[in-house]
Amino acid sequence: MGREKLGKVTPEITGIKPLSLHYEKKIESPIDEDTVRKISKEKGEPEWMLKKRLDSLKVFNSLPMPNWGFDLSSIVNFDELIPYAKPFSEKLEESSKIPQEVMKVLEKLNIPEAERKYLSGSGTMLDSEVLYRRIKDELRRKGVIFTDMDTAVKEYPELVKKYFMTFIVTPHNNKFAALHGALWSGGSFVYVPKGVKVGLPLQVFFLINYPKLGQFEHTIIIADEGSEVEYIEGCSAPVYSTHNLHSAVVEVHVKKNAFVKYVTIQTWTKNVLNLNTKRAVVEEGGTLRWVSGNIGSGLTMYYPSAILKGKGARAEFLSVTFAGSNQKKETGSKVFHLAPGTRSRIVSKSIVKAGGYAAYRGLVHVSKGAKGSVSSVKCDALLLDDLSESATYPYIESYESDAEVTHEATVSRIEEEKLFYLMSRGLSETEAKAMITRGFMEPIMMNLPLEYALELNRLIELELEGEGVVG
Amino acid sequence: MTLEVKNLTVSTGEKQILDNVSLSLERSQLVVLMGPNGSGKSTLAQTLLGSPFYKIVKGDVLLDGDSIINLKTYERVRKGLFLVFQNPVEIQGVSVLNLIKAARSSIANEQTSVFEFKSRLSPLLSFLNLEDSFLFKNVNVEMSGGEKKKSEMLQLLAIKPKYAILDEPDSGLDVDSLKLVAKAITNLLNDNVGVLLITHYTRILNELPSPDKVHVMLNGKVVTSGGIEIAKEIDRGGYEWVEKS
Repeated sequence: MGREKLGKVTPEITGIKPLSLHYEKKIESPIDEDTVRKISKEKGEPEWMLKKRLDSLKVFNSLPMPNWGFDLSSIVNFDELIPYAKPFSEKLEESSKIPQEVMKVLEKLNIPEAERKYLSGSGTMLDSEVLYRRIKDELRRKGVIFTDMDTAVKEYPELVKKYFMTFIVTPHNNKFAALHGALWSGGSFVYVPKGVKVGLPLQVFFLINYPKLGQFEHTIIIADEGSEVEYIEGCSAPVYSTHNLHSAVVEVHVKKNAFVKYVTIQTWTKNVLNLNTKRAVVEEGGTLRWVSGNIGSGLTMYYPSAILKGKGARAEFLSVTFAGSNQKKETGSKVFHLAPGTRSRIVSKSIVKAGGYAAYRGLVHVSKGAKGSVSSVKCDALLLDDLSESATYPYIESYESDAEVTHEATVSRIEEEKLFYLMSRGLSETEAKAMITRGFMEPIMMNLPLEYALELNRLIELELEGEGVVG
Repeated sequence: MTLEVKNLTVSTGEKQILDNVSLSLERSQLVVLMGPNGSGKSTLAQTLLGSPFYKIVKGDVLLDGDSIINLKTYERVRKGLFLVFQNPVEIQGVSVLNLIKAARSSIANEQTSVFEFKSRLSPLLSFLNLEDSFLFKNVNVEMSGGEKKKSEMLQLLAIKPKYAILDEPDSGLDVDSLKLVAKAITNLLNDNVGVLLITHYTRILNELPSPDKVHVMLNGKVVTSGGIEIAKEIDRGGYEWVEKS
């Protein structure tokens, strides 16, 4: 899929203004069995899903906080978290039913126009529930499923039972994945039948409006043999003085010879703690391309992963991370090469300024027998001042001698020599810095749809000019 | 209409590099600054553009009568000064096209589409014997020495300043490329551009119109000035000739 024109789909992220909406249902702490039962009952779920939730809750209670990355125990307060908030009373199939106040936000984010012109399907999730969801009729006729996770539980129980946190991500992955398993709500369920090429992307936009809410959307994407799909996520939230927690789980299945491109542009405001677990399994001849823009959020731990299970499976992770003042980011990818001839490529670019912190933490694992596998990791950090910090924690576990794993890391600053050269071409200092920064990000940008790239550029330029847009 | 360097003394850190240097350049004039390596030629070129690495201790630089030494680099450039670097730095992820486009837009306030802009650069590319695809190369990245020189010349031709300072545009070039660079300089002179040509060798002068002035710099000082005959002496006796005389 090329750099098709997508409209200004990424948000005008000045942070949305808090909306005073009527909330049909709120379920408050504590995080216990009673709360989990209330959520499940509210959704009218079958017993098997309730059981999954309760099992996850047990794991959550038994697991310690992650022992890597940031010390979350002093930051995340589970007692203050609101597990569930449902605006409105029903799902809205048509945009005409969306309350005007919400519609205005969507328009500001340019979502309706993008949906008309550049997307195969689109959805928006507000707080704990999906607001609406639409897909082009022709794709529906071809058997493409693009629905919210709660609907999938009811309409496709066999698929959900098979795939929901059963093997790609399980509650045991980490404490936040377990919490997610207990409290999950909303998210996407995508199924692309054999050989179907979806064409224009599917997009889901996430909004958090309710203070202290935890948003726990669950996404499953199944690209059946030989199919192709591009899936895009965006997000926005108001600036609050209290924390919101965003803890998603995403499970992507790339079947034989299928292609999935997963694009996520994260622009949460700084009060949002972003702790996700996102993983994919790639089967024989399949290709996964994962593009991330980690711009917002005050604290992010994000390690999208791929399990290359079939012969010749490929995964590519391209990410650009920005960390400004009061932003701490740990990002990186994990790739497990389990079969011969598998290939992975990780390119991670971080831009750090004004005392921000960005670290790369990643793992490349090559199993015995994954002969002829190739992996390359390249992580580059650009520090814009002396207050900012970056770090690299690359882990390599190779049990196959006939495999090639390379790792390269650089830390650079904007050298005066380069600034002088560009200024001698008539650019102001700010323009020169922006040009160097854009050049630094270029390898990632060229993998984004053009309009996203422009928008991301603009966001980063605003951040560079000091008018932080993510709160 | 003159670029005037008046009694310029320049240092870096504690070390003085230029000592009381004066010279002037009028529009459409060719002034040549010669000297051995390390004599201070590049320091002068960079100081005129406001390099952060050098400090003016004494003296002044006037551009069409106004002092420019307190102006920022880009302000000097917007007033019509341009420098062709001897060793330009690599800028990853920025194409030659984007750089020239950004330069044109900030210097000449020109806003054109990429397409139109590209077609406008096309004759300059063929003049310099470069492929169109050269525009999509990253600035100075994975370029040969000759390509870097041509990239600098391409920018100079596209921007067409009032006064151009060329810091060894000839070093390391083969004969054909050298002739192209000389031809480009000649065209600029005919186009009312003043050219201060810094060179180590006299080779390029054979391809150019007779210079209006030749200065020789040694140890940060202009030690002798005159016409083309000075260059000829250097050709014959090297810089030792200047040192002795």
